[in-house]
Amino acid sequence: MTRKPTRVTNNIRTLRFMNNEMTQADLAEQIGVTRQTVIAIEQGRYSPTLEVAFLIARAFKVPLEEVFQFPEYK
Amino acid sequence: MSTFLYIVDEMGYKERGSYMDLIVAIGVAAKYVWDIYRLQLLTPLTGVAFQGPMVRAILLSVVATIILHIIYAILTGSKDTKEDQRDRQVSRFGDWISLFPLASGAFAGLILAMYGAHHFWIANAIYAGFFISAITGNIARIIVYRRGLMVT
Repeated sequence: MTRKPTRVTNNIRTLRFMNNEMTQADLAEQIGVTRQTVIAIEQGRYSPTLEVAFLIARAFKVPLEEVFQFPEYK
Repeated sequence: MSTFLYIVDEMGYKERGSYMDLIVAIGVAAKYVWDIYRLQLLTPLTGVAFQGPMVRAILLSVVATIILHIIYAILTGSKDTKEDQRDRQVSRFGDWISLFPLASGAFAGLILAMYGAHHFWIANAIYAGFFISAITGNIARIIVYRRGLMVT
C-alpha cells in the first residue's frame, strides 16, 4: 500500500453530493482553482492552503472541521 | 486503462506542459547526440565542430517548447490554460530538484577547465547539466502531480 502524501482527510465528495450534486468543476470555479486541484484535494494527494480550505468550507456553508479532519498521532 | 482515464480527465494544462517539455528535452538532446556521433565518425571527438549543433539544439528546444504550447492552447482553448497555487508549488518543487544537476554541470565544467580539459568536454559537461536538469525537473513535476507532495 502506498503512503498518502498528506494525513489530512476530507469529506468533499460527500459534501458535493449533499449540495445538489455539485460538480468538481463548479466547486473549482467557486474557489478559484483548477478542477484538477479539486480532484487532487478530494483524493488526498494535495493539502490546500488554509485560505483555499476556508473557501471550500464556505462554498458548502459548513465549518472547516466538517470538511477537513486531521487524525491524532498514534 | 486507469492511466488512460487519468491522462484524459485529471491532467491539467501545466501537467501536460511538463510532459511536453520532457519530450522536447529528450528529443532535442537525442538529436544533438546523433549529430555529434555522425561528426565524430569523420574526426576525433575533440576535433568535432560541436558549436553549431549545440547552438541549434538550444534554440530548437526553446522554439519547439513555445510552438508546442501554442498548438496545445489552440487545440484545447484558453479555458484549459489556467494555473493555480498547486501548479505553482509543483513548479517550484521541479525547479528546486532541477537545480542540483544544473549546478553539477556547471561545477563539472569548472573542474574540467581547472585541469585544462579540451573545450569540447567543458561545453558538453555544462550542456549535459542543462539536459539532465530539464529531465529531472520535469520528471519530478510529473511524479508530484500524480502522487502529491509528501508533507511531513
